[in-house]
Amino acid sequence: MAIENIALKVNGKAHTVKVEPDTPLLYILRNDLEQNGPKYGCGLGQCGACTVIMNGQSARSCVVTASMAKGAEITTLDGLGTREKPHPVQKAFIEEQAAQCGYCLNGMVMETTAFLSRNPNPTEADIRNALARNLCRCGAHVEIVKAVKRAATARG
Amino acid sequence: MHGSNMIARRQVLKGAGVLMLSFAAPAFGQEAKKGTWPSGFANSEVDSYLTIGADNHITAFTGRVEIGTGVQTAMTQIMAEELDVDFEQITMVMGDTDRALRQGRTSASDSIQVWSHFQRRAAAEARRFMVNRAAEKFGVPASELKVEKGIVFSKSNPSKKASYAELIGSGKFELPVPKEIPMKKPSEFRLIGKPVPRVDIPPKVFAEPVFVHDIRRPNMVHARVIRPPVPGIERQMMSTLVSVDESSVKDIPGLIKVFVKGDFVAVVTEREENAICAARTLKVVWKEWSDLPDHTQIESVIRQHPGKARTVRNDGDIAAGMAKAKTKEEATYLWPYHLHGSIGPSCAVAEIVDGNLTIWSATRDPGALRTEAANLTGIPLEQVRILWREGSGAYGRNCTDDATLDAALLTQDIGRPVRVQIMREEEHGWEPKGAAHLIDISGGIDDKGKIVAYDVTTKFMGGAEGTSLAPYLIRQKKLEFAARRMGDRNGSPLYVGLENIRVNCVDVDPAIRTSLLRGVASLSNSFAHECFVDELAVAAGVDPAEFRLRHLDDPRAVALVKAMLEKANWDYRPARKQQTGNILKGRGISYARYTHGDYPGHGAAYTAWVAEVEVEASTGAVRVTRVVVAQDCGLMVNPTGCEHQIHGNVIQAVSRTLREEVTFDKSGVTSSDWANYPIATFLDVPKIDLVLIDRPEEPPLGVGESAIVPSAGAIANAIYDATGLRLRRVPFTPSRVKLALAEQGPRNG
Repeated sequence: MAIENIALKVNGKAHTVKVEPDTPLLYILRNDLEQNGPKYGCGLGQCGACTVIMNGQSARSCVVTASMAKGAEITTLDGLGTREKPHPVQKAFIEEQAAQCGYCLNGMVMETTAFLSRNPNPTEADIRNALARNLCRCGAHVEIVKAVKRAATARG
Repeated sequence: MHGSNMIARRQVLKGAGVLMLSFAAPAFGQEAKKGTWPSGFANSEVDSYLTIGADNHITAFTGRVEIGTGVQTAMTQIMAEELDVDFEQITMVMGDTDRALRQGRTSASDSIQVWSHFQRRAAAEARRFMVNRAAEKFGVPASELKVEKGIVFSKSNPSKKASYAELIGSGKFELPVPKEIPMKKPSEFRLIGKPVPRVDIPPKVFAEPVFVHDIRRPNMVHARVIRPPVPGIERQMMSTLVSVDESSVKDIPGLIKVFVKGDFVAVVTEREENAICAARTLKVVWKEWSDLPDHTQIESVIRQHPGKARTVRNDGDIAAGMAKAKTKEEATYLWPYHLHGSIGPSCAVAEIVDGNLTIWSATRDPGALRTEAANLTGIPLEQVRILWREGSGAYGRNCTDDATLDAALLTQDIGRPVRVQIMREEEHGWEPKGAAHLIDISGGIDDKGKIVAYDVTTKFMGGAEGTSLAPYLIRQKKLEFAARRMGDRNGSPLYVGLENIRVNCVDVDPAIRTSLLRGVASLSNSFAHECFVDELAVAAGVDPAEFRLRHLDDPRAVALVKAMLEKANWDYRPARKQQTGNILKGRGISYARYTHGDYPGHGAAYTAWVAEVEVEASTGAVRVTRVVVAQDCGLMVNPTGCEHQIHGNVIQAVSRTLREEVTFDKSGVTSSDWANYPIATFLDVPKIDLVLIDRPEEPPLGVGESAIVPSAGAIANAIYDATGLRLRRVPFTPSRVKLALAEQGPRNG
C-alpha cells in the first residue's frame, strides 16, 4: 500500500504523518507522536484501552485507520490535563483512587470524559451502561463508578 | 516526585550517604513462619538499602515490585513510619537488579506479610543508627533524643538538632538488621494504618511513561514472534518448525529481518504496524500436532491424566467412620482452566550497549530473569541488567518473562534496541493458565449431625512451572518442570470437630502450560469444601452459618464470621425456601483462610463471604446482587488499599465463577480474545459490603488474594438456596444452570 501524508490534530497541535492509510491510529499516536495515554489492549476494539476523543466522540484508536483520522481533531489522555491543571475527570479518578494496575485507566478516563459531555447528570445505571464495554481485569469498577459520579458533580 | 523510577534515579545524588541493611532473607521459596527466624543465613547479599541525599530525601531500594496492588505505597508507609520521616521524604525504587537485591518473587500476597516485617526492622535499625550517631555528636544519651521528619533533636533542647543527611554525610555503612528491635506501637502510628493515597496512580492518570509499554529507545525496532501452532501446549512446541518462506514478506515496508533459530521465528521491522502485518503474512510451515484430549469432557481428561498420589492427612479410620454415618454424601467438584487475563498483553524492550544488556521488563522476579537472560544470550551475568517497569496486572504470571527473553534474544542478533509486544491472541493462548482442578469428596454425618467421615482426593493440574519460552524454542534447553506440590493448599477442611479425615493429593506433570493464578489451589479446594460442608449442614438439618460456627474454634475466625453474619443480616433457617416465579433468590455462605507453603502451610488472612444471588429460571442467568465480605488480615497497613483489593478480588471472583473457562481444540487453546473468553463488566458488579476487622497489634497478613478464596463456594451455595441445585462445575454459565433446572424437573411450590 502506498504511503500517504495524513494530516491530523492531536491535543491542539497539527501533525502530518507519512504512513500507509490503513495504519491503526493507535500506533501513530504512540510511536510517531509519542503519546503514552492510549494503550494496546487487544487491537480489536473490544477492551477500550486505546480510547481517544476524536471529533468530540470517544473512539477506539486501535480500529481507527489513518485514513479515517484524516483531518480529525484528537484528544488523548496526555492532552486532557496536567498535574498543575488537571481535567475534572482526572482529578476525580485520583481522589477516588480509581485504578489498580492502571492499564485500563486511559480508556476509563477518556470514555468518561466523552460520556459526561453528552450526559452531565448520569444515574449510576447510566454510568455502568456507558462503561460496559470498557474492560478492567483488576476489578476497580466500584472506585471507577465513584470517580465518574464525583467528576459529574464537580463539573456542576 | 513519586511513582516513577526514572525520576527517582535522578534524585540519587553522587555523594549521598548510603545505608546498606543486611538481614537473613529467606531463600527463594522458603517461607518465613511467624515467630521463627529463617535458619541458615544463605548469603550476604544486601537486602535493602537507603541512600540519603543532602536534601534529607531518602531513596529506598527493594527487589519487590508493584503489580498494581499498592505494595509500593504500603512499603513506603512502613519505612517512613519507623524512620520517623514524612511519607513524601521517601522514594521507593523497585526491581532494578543493579541497585536492589533479589527479594525473591513478588507473589503469594506475601510482600506485606513476610517482607514488611523485614523492612520495618531495617527502617527501625536505620533510625537507631542515626540516633546513636546524634547521641555521640551531641554528647547526650540516645534516650534524650527524638526524631521528626528525619531530623534528630534533643527533647530538652530542640535547637540541638541534626538531620539524617548531616549525620551520615556521604558515608557508607553496612548495618546488620537484628532479629529483635523496638518498633512503633499501634498507638504511635502516623502512617501505618492510614489510607495514604497510592503514589503510582497520578503518573498513570497524567499519561506519564511509567509502563514498560511506554519505553522508547533511540533507534528502536519492533518485533513480533510467531509461535508454533500449539497454543498453551509447551510440551508440543519443540522441533516443530518445518520451513519459513522469507519471500512471502519481501514487500513489507521497513522489514529488517526474519529471525529463525530452532523453533523461534520472529519478524523485525522499523514500524510497529509492519511487524504485525509481517507476522500475519509470513508463510511458516510447522509439523502439525492434534492430539489434545477433548477438554469439553474435562472431568475424564483430568481423571485419565497420570499423577502421583500422596496422603497428606489420615486421621482416624475413614471406613469405620463411613460405616457409622447415618447420611452419606459424595460429590465431585470441577474447576476449569482460567486465564490470568491481563488487559495489557506483555511487552519488553532490550538493548545492548558496549556488551551490556539492559532489558526493561515488568517481571515479578527480576533477579531470576536476569540469570535466565544471561544464560540465554551467553552474556556474563554482571553485564546483564533488568530495569523493572510496571506492567498490566498479572494476578500471577503472564507472558511478561517470555517477552523479556524474546527481546534479549533479538537485540543480540539485530544490534539495535528491540521492542517485543505480545499480541492479544498470543497472550490468551500462551499465558500460563490458572490450573484446572478435580476434587472428590465423600463423607457422612451421624444421627446427631456430627461429621464422622470426610475423605478428600484432590488433583490439581498445575503447580509445576516451566520457564520462559525462548530457551526451549531455540532448542537451547530441554523442557523441564520444577515440580511443586501445590494441590494440597487448603486441601484439608478448615473445620474442627470432624472425625476420621483423610486427604489424598494427586500431583501431576501438567499437560497445559500453567502458572499460579490468584487464589491458586486454595480457591478451588475451598470451593469444594465449602460446597460439601454446606451439603452436610443441610443433611444435618442445621442452618449453614450455624453449622460452620459449630465447627470453628479459632477465635479470630469466629469473630470474623459473626461480624459478617450481622452485617449481612443473615436469615437463619435450616432449609432453603421453596420458590416459584422466574426470579429465584438465594443466599450462601463460605469461610476460608488462605495458606502459604507446603502442607499444612501456615495461615494468612481470614475471609468469609455471604453471597446473594438472583437466578433467572427462563435463561439460567445468575446475577450476584450483593456480597458481604469480612476479612481479618491483622494489621492493615493501608486500609483503603485493603478495601480496594477486596473489591477487586470480589469482581474477579464473580467473573471467574460465572463466566470463565479456557477452551481447547485438538491442537491447544482456542480462547483468543474477549469475545470468546468474556469477563465481567460494569453490568456484573454486585453491591459489595465490607467488614474489615482491625487488629493493628497483630502482624500484617497481606490481602492481595485472600478475599477470593471463599468466593465460589458462597455463590454456589447461594444458587442452591435459590434453586435447590448443587452446581459443582465452575463456571455457572446460563446454559449449565438452565440445563440443570430442566433436569431437576418441575419445581415444587
